[in-house]
Formats: sequence, C-alpha cells, structure tokens
Amino acid sequence: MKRIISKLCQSILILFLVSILCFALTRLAPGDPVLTYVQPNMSEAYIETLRENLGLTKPLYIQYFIWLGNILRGNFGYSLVNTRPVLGQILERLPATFILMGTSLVLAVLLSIPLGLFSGKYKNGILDKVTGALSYVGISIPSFWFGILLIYLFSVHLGWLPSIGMHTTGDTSFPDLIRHLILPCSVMTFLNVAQFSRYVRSSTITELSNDYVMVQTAYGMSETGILFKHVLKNAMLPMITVLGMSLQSLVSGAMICEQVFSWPGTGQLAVTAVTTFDYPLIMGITMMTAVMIVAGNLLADILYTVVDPRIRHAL
Amino acid sequence: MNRISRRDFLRGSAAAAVTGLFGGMTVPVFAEEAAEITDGGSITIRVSADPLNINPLYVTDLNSFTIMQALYSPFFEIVDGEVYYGNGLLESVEANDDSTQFTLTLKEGLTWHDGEPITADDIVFSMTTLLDEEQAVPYSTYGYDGDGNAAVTEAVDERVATITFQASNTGFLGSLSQIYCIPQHIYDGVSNIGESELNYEPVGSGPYQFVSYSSGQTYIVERFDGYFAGTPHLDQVVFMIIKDTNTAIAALQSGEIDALTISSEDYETVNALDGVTIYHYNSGQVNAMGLNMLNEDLAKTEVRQAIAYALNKEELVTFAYVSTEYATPAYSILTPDTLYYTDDLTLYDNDLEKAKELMEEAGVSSLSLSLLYSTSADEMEKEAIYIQSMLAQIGITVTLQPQEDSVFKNTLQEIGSTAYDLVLENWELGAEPSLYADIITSGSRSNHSNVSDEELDALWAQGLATPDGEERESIYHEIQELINDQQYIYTISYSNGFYAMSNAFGGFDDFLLQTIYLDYSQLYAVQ
Repeated sequence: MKRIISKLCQSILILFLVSILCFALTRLAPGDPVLTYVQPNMSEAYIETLRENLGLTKPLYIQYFIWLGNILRGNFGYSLVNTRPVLGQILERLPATFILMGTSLVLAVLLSIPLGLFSGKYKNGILDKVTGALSYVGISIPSFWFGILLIYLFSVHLGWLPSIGMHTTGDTSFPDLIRHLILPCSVMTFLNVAQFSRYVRSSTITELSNDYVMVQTAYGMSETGILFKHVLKNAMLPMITVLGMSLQSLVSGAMICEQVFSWPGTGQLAVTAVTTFDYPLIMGITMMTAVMIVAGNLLADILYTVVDPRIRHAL
Repeated sequence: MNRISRRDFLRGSAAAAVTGLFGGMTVPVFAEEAAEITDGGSITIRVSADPLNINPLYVTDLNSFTIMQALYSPFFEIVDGEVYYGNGLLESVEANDDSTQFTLTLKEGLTWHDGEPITADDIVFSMTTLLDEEQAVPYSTYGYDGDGNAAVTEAVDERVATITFQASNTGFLGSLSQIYCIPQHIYDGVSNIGESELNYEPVGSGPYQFVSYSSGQTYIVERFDGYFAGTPHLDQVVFMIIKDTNTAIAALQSGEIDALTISSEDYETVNALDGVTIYHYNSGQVNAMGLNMLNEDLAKTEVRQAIAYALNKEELVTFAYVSTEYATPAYSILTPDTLYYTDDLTLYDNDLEKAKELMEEAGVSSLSLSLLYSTSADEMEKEAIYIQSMLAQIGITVTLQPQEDSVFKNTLQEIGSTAYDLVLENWELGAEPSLYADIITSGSRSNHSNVSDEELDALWAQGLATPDGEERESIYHEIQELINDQQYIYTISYSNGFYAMSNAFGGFDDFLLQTIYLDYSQLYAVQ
C-alpha cells in the first residue's frame, strides 16, 4: 500500500514535469498561432489585441500557471483556431480512437499469447520461424505503407471493404462500423502482434528452462498442462508492463493509421492541432496521453503485486 | 488601405490550393459523353480538413469556403470580368456615375433556409457586422473606400438597399462579390458572431441546407427546395474529410468519393483511372519567386535582373511541371485574364553573358542566398532545384530552405521578414487589377519581397481612384512594366487546376464558375 501511495506521488510529480516540458517545447517550436489566422489586411494593432486576448503576450511562466490553474479546475481552454472547447473536441474524437485502438489491443493480446507460447515451446520450429519472420516485417514496415497496401488490395481491387471513415454516409449500424473497422484494425493489430508475440515468446523460453518445469515434467504432467497452467502465468508478467505502456494509445490514437484510413480519432486531431499551432489543443491531447501513460504504468505496478506474490512479499 | 481579395486569404500554397477556375475556361480532357441528367442522388466530395468556420463573413480557409458555398449564395459573382447574377441573391447592382453609391436590388421571393424572407435589412445587417470592429470580420476592409471611410448602407425598401461611400470606389463591385449576406433574424444581438455556436448549424441562402457535421468525418447538406434559381439536381452533397491525398485517390478509385481537386503530381495516377474525368481549368494562380529587398545585394536592381537573365523560364516551367499542359510561363504578375494585363514587357530571360555582366556592374562577384519554399508541393521543390543549379553559373550559391507547409505559411505572414533571401510564393487574386497591389505594396503583409517603392505605391493608389478606361489601363501597364524592369518578383508560371470527378456526375462547366467559386446547384447525376 505504502509503495502504491509513493508511486502515486511520483506519478503526479512526473505529470507536473511533463506539463512543464510540453508547454515549453510547444512554445519553443517555430511558428506563431496568431500568424496562422492573421489575414493580410488586419492592422498591427488588431493583431496585438488578438495576441493579448489569447493571453500570448504574458511572460511564459505566467501563461503556464494560468494554464495549469485552468486545467486543475478541469478547464482545458479553447482552440485558438476554431474557438471550440478543447475538451469537447477531444471527447468527441475519443470514442472512435477507443474503438479502433481497444479492438486492436484486445485482438493483439489474444493472438500474440498463443503465437508466442507455441513459438517459445517449439523454438526454431516452423511456427516460430513464420511468426518470427512476420514479426520482423511488422516491426519494420511503416504503417502508412501497409495501410495504403491494404486499401489498394481490399478496397480498390477487390472492392470488399471500405477504405475511409467510420461509417458509410447515412448508415450508423454496427455491421457497417465493423466493415470500416477491419482494415485500420488489421494494421494496428498486425503491428502490435509483431511486438507482443516476441515478448511472450522470449519469456516462454525463459520460463521453460526453469526448474519447476522439469519438476512438473518429472511428476508426469502433460506438456500442454505445464504450458497453460504454469508457464503461461509467469510468461504473462512482462505483458503487463507492455500493456500498461500501450494503454495510452486508447486516448492518443494512432496518428498515421488514423490519417491513412481517415479514421476520425484523436490521432488525426493531434496532427491538425500541431500543423495549426493550436497550443491549447496540443497541450490537451499531450496531457491526456501523459496521464494515460503514467496511469498505465501505475496500473502495471499494482497488477504485478497482485499476480506475482514474489513482488508483493518483497515489499 | 490595402485591398485584398478573399482568394488571397484562401490561397494555400501551391498544390494544396490548386482549385477553381479562372476565366470560366474549362477544357475536359475527354469529350464528355452525351449525358442524361437525372434529378436526385448524392455526391461525395473530398475536403482535406475540417472546416474551421462556416459563417461566410468569417471563412478564411479553403475547406470552409468550399463547403460554405453550398450553404450561402453570394450577392453575385464576377465571371470573365462581368457581373453574373445566376447564383446570386441580387437581381441587379448599379453604381452611380462617380462610383460613390451602389444600389442593390434583391431578387423576388428569396428566403433563408428556415423560411424567413431575405430582405434589404439583411444586407444592412451584414454590412454593419462587416464594419463593426467588435465583430472582427476578417474582410472588413471591403467596406471602406480608398480614403479609409466606411460605407453607409441603407434599406430603401424590402428589396432595395444602397451602399454609399465618400470617395469613388471603382473596385467595390469586386469586393461586394466577396461579401456574403447573413441572416439578421439569426444573428441579431449576438455579441461575437464569429465565435457563436449558431455557426454550427448555419441557416443559409444557398442551394443546399445544413444536415449534419461530424468532426473528422463528414459535413452533409441536402437540397433546399426553396432555392431561388430552381431546385438543385442532387438530393444531397456529402463533404468527406480526408487528410491524406493517397487515401483520397484510392477512395475515388473504389467509388467511396466522387470528386476532388488534384495537383499535377497526381495527374497521371488519376488519369489512369476508369470512370473518372479530369477537368482542366485556369486556376488563376500565379507562381513566382520573391526577391527579398532587405538583403543588401538583392536590393541592387542589377543583381535582380541578373538572376532573371540567368534563368530560362520555359525550361524552368517544363522542368517543374513536366508539361506545359500543367502550367504556362508567366511574365506579368497579373494573370492573362486580368483587366489591363500586358505581356508587352522587356524580356529578362536566358542570357548568361548579360547576367554575368550585370553582376559585374553591381560589383557582386559571389553571393550566398537562401531559398525558402514549402515541402507541400513537388513543383516548388523542382523549381528550387532548377534555380539553385542555374544561379550557380553566375556565382550565386543558393541554399535550399524547405519548410513544412504550416511553418512556411507562418514564416510568410511576418512583415519585413529576413528569414529568407528568395522565396517561392503564389497568389490567386482574380480579374480586378487593383487587388494585385497587395503583393507588392509597402508594408503589406503579402509583400514577401519587402518592396518599398514610393512610385509603385502611388501608381497603385492612382489605379484604384481612376475610373475604368484608357487612363486606368495605362496606369496598370506602367505598374506591370515597373515591376518587370525592377524584377522585384520573378514570375514563373500560371498553373492549371485539375478537378477529378466520377463520370456518374456531370455539370462541371456550370458548377465551377471561376477559380474557387462554385455553384453546387449545377451538379447532377448521370444516368
């Protein structure tokens, strides 16, 4: 418990530092949000008023504290570009990202566990070699390229699946959503499985070389029994960390994949925010992502103590 | 006061902004098959980002403008230099002899999408909003004459309003075509119209009315049966937000979208698709290289002329645009269809010896210059590479300075910037020559060459205050000659625009009135 509280304190400190760093970095980056929507005929005086109204004339640290004060009260501010509330804009994109990233995370876990387990068990077997090769492919190919490839194959040539958006215009049914989800979700799942299965495989190999496996075998327990009853549990431990780290993607989305499939999630919103120098929106998305990363890590730590008594007792 | 056109606001950089037609000239690549018009159906048109603000007085980005035109009607358009009332709210607009008063007469029986009548009071309200500083309308300068006096708008009766200036305002018709009427009964008493939530569900006057908007996905409008110029053919227009161009082209191929503007880079790809026609049009876009006068060497006329002599314009255009089908060499800062355009100018081109002589005369033996351009367009990159290699021959070392498009645009907004020596730029300013003053007048934000030439400033002012005729013509000829002789700006090309549309739809020639001006009621589905 004590450890969890101290972790929690650490997390808050980290978020605080992240916010300072992000705030400073967005401001240091080249580009001026006021200039992005200044019109050629606006007078200098008007532009100054604009800058003042947006609070951009104050010293940076004061701007930061104002922003911090607001965000602690749950006020994420307003977009500099379209004047709509930042939180509202993020929240309306969140379901799309959540559906895409959530589905692909779950699928990736479901696929990578058996793949990793059997690849580890039958090291250098056919399955291991095939998944190994595919993993390298998955880790190394750029997602936009893979995405475009799938679009050309399944949408353009075969005409089986839609390539863009979340719904066909005027159709908000669930099957329609699934059809739209297949391609982007396949890309994300493939990329995730490529990584996850490697983790499961290597921890399986480590676990299989442990003494308890030999003991179990000596007692006459079946190989599948050992694999699923004992090895699986232990091999899953590193996955908790990996998943904890992936949790943020539920909020931050996948910028490139969302762009390629025109998926209306937060990743796309983030890209737009960056290209228009929309500071409040950039900060909003960055902070939500940071919170999820920190929370994911915290959760992983807590889960560790729950599933692994060794860690719990070591405290 | 600088006069700016909406086109100027909306112009993106190169490829992204290859939209619209100028001069009403459209040349379909393939002969359009005899098509049978059917009423009904829905077209899906790609826009590259979410609209920022759909209120026509506040539209400053091309995507919003593209969508806005389905929802709102202009007072009138100017097509081929003539007033065109077809898709406009006005039946007539008349100027008095000295162009100080304009009388606007609305067509009969006009209504807003909610059924309320459109009256002269709406015109008064729109003009008042335009001029109200509190409302911060970006186009407010349209409401002032050359001496900086605000227009006074009065309703004469239900359908007639007058707009009065203190000084002659010859260019006002051009401005008025850019001002849109907004409904008084909706916005009356709203303190900040630009940021009002009322803009999320616009009540317009155009051929289509608002249905729904989902962020990052679609903006949908449906046929407005009360449209004054006859019922629009299509039931529905869906604007689909697709950021990635490759995705958009794949979607065109798979039939998920029906139309989009394309750049010359994608021409061959799209041209190879079945069932899609690419329409060519004059985009009204001038591509050029600005020479920053704040660089002390570029401030010397000889150096600027030497740069022009060192380049071969035809070769440059062919190199950058592959074919003259995509762009033609430009010699004036005005487009050929602009009033008082002339190409009867001294040719500073392709004479290496002359260039070297001029450099010697200027006492400049070697020079290092940076060349700024946007990474968004292949053409710009190619132009830059060509310029770099050619200028090396006269001892000028050019350092390429590509910038991501949003940063590039941002850099260009800064007045008196010394962040670059040379810059690749473009503009779309229309057929009214006075509007071009903006790109080359002292202190103007679009004066990327940072030219400060009193003679030129005076000529622009004179041009604006002189009524159309021979005198005005000679002023604009003089301006073009002066700019050409000074080579403040090295004009490169007039580029064509390309609009790709599925063969399941027709009516493009009437749909695209001019450059970026569209009449959605003319699009139809083909049987």
